[in-house]
Amino acid sequence: MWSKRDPPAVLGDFEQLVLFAAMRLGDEGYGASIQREIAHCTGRDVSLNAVYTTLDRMEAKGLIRSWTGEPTPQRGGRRKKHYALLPSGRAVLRRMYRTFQGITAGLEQELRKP
Amino acid sequence: MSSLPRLIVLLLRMRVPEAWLEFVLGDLEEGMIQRGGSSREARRWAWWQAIRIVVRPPRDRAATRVRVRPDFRHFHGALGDLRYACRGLARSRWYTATAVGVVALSTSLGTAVFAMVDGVLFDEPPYARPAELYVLNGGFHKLPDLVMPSVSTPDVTAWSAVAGPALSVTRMRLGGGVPISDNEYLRSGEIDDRFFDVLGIRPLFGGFEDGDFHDAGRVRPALITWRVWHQRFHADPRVIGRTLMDSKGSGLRVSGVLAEDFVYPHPAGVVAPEMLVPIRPPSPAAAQNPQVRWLHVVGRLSPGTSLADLVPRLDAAAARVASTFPPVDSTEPLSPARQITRGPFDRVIVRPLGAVLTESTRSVAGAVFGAFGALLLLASLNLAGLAAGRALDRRRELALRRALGATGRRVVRLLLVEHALVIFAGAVLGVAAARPLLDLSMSLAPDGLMLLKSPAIDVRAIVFTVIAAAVSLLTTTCWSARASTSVTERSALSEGGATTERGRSRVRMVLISGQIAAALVLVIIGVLFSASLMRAWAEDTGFSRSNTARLRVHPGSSFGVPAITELLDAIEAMPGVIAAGGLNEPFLERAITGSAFDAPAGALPLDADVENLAVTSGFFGAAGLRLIQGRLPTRAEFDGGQPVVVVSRTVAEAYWPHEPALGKVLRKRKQAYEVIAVVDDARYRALDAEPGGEIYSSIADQPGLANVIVALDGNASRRLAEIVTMIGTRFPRVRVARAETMDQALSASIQRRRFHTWLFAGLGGAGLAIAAVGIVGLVGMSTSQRTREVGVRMALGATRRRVVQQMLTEQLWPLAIGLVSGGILAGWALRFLQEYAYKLSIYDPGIWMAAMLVIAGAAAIGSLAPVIRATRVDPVSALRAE
Repeated sequence: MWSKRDPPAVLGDFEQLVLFAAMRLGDEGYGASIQREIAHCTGRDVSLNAVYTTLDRMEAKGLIRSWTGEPTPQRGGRRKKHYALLPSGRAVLRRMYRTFQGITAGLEQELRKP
Repeated sequence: MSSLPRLIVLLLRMRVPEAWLEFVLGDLEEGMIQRGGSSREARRWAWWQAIRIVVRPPRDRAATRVRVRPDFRHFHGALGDLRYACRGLARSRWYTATAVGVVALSTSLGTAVFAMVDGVLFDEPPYARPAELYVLNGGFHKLPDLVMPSVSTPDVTAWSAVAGPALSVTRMRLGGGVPISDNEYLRSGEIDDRFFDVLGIRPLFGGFEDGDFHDAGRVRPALITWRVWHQRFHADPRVIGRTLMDSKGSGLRVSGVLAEDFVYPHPAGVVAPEMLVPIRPPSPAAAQNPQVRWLHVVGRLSPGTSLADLVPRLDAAAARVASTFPPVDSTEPLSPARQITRGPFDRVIVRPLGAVLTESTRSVAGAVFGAFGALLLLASLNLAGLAAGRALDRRRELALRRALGATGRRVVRLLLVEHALVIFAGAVLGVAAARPLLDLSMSLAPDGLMLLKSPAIDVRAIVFTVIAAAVSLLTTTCWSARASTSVTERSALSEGGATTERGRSRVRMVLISGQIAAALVLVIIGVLFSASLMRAWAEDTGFSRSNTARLRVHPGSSFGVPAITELLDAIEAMPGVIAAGGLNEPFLERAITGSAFDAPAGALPLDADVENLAVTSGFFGAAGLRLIQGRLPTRAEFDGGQPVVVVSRTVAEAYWPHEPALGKVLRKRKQAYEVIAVVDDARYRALDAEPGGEIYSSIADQPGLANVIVALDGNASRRLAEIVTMIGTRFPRVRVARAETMDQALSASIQRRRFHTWLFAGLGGAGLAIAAVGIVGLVGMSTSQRTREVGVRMALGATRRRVVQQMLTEQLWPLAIGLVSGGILAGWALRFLQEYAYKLSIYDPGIWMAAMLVIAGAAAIGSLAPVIRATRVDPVSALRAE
């Protein structure tokens, strides 16, 4: 039986984006950098608010962890809230990625058609 | 140094939890630096991000987990309250739609009503220091209620002489039409050279010169009104000096333009002039004759002068004029009242100008405003009922919040925000709807309606709406706050809402009775006006109403009998036209022109004036007048100008009370006319004006044509259009000002009555609708709270019919109390509206019964629907409901 503690079987589109961005950034993932990474990789201009809400939810689901960094002068002497993937989050992303690969395998030619 | 705008920091500090604030500010700062620091784009980005965060801030999960007190963050800021209220209202769509609808309906009516009555009831006349201005009239001690509208030149001269510098007077009169082309006229008001000084106003531009008041030429200098300037001259600033005249050289020369808010100082009910011209007496001799009363007088009292000192001096002056007054011919058959009015004045009546101007409009404006007050009360009670019901429904939720730490003040603030939202939304909708409603009302308004300023949704109207909305908000919030906070937390949480408190049913009874009472007052007034209109509409006109039409024509001054005959023959020759007749008199225009025929010796006095109508021979057939005795005149007799006349039944009975009128002789300027027929009385002035008695003489006696009456076969509108086209083609000099079926003409003749009925029936209808909605809401609320009780009863064997019967019987008390208190209120209010009831008593049992039945019906329907719904529930699920 599924419980709240179990990692979710399916993630939403935006949740995937946030988690993949966090994975790419490793230990350097925080609100602004994740937002920037998503914009850089996908061209989507997402709001900080949406990133915070998703990170908060993913943390509550046990997919990522957070810690507070050191203050930096670029941020007016303010600290960052860092996020990094937990093994459960990594497992969910792996499953999602494989699912995606499986369903899209052999469709490259088809997808190139107008 | 931080590049984040301070306001963003402030907003975020207010909304974002402490645990997040540093990270959020840091991310925003970093994002801005990446986008160029304080550049425009960076700032725009930061603002957009900040707004999104403010609307939906990140949550502090750690605080949520360890929280010991409830999170009443939503209560802390106005924004939170607003969000909470919006959510609550979105959940209760029925309540929101009803409440917003009630507010919108009452606001739109209120704003439109205020815009109409503002000039009459609240605003001052547009003159300098209007409180110093008075209208001076003559009167008679024996007829204390009578105020003679006009005075003679010797009267004014004598009054001015005794008043001296204490009173500056100006003389004026409503003149006739001044031609601006061969078949067009402008209505004129004639004024003397002191007019503008006494009233303390100025034209918009231009004005009269001293010489204009001694100019006796055919082209008269004129100050045109703002409306004429716009409509006829397209607001051309070079209009001064322009001349408009007919082919005979009579006309006007524009000397100036009057201000937009100019109001001609004449008693209400008179169609306002379209221009002002210098005053001219009817004749030099008439100007000195105390019997020729042709002037209206307005005076300005000097500061420091007492009216109480002035009036006796004026009365003494009136007595001096009376001593020079020619003796009155007492042999004429006139009623005693008319004998007195033919004699000299024995007193001077001084009335404030503001009151005189709005004399005939003030009572109805006051009544309309009073009716709106009742509607506002009704809407407030309704909203209070709805809001109290909603508060009671939510009492467990509110009590829970209070138990968890929210203060009573916070709960009241929340209710206030919620009601403010509803009232604001309703008021905005209402003000938006007020404009078309006002336009519609003004399109039905009679021509002579004196409002002192053009009705508009201006700042004053908006301020009034805001005040009315604030009153509603206060009432509603107080009531619902009382309902929600009076329930203690323990009782609300423990009772489960299963029982009915006695206090709650008392509140409901007061609300229902109050609404029924207010609605009854409005409905009775609405029914009274509607019944009066219907009664007037059902009057026998004395002439044919179906398949008859009237054309108001202006053929120009030299349109003699041959031309009239040619025009009427051409109309008669058209297909579908049965007969056509001409009349050189106003028709259904509330005008009296009087009669120059002498009454025979031994005639009974008549209270109303006898009218002499100059008609063509075809008039009788076209109008369908009913012949009582004799024979109708032939074409040769009437159109040929032979001395024969036709009289109406009233004239025949008054002039020759004991013998037949046929063959009798009437005299006009020593010429003898033989009576050859008696026809039935007819209502020529207006549908609701009693016929005064008519003498029909040949149009050859007074050549000219004002109206053409046509009897038609079938489709009157199409035939009329064809006639107008034919006249335009064959008789280009004849201007057709109006072409309408007889029903349209009759309807226009009772325009004022229709307007009043529209106003009061509209307010009555709105009141009824609001009350019905309120009753549905309140009874629905009560029945839904008693679902468990209904379930128990039905489980114990009560039939549905019995439950419905019992629940309906409970509504009888509030209905009875509402009807009685509403009846008492209506009885008091109707006393002010007696003059508007047409041949009806304000206490007419039929009207009262109809109004009460309408209210009882609305209350029954309002009660029945929720009661039936309540009894449809399955007893088992009803018992599980709580």
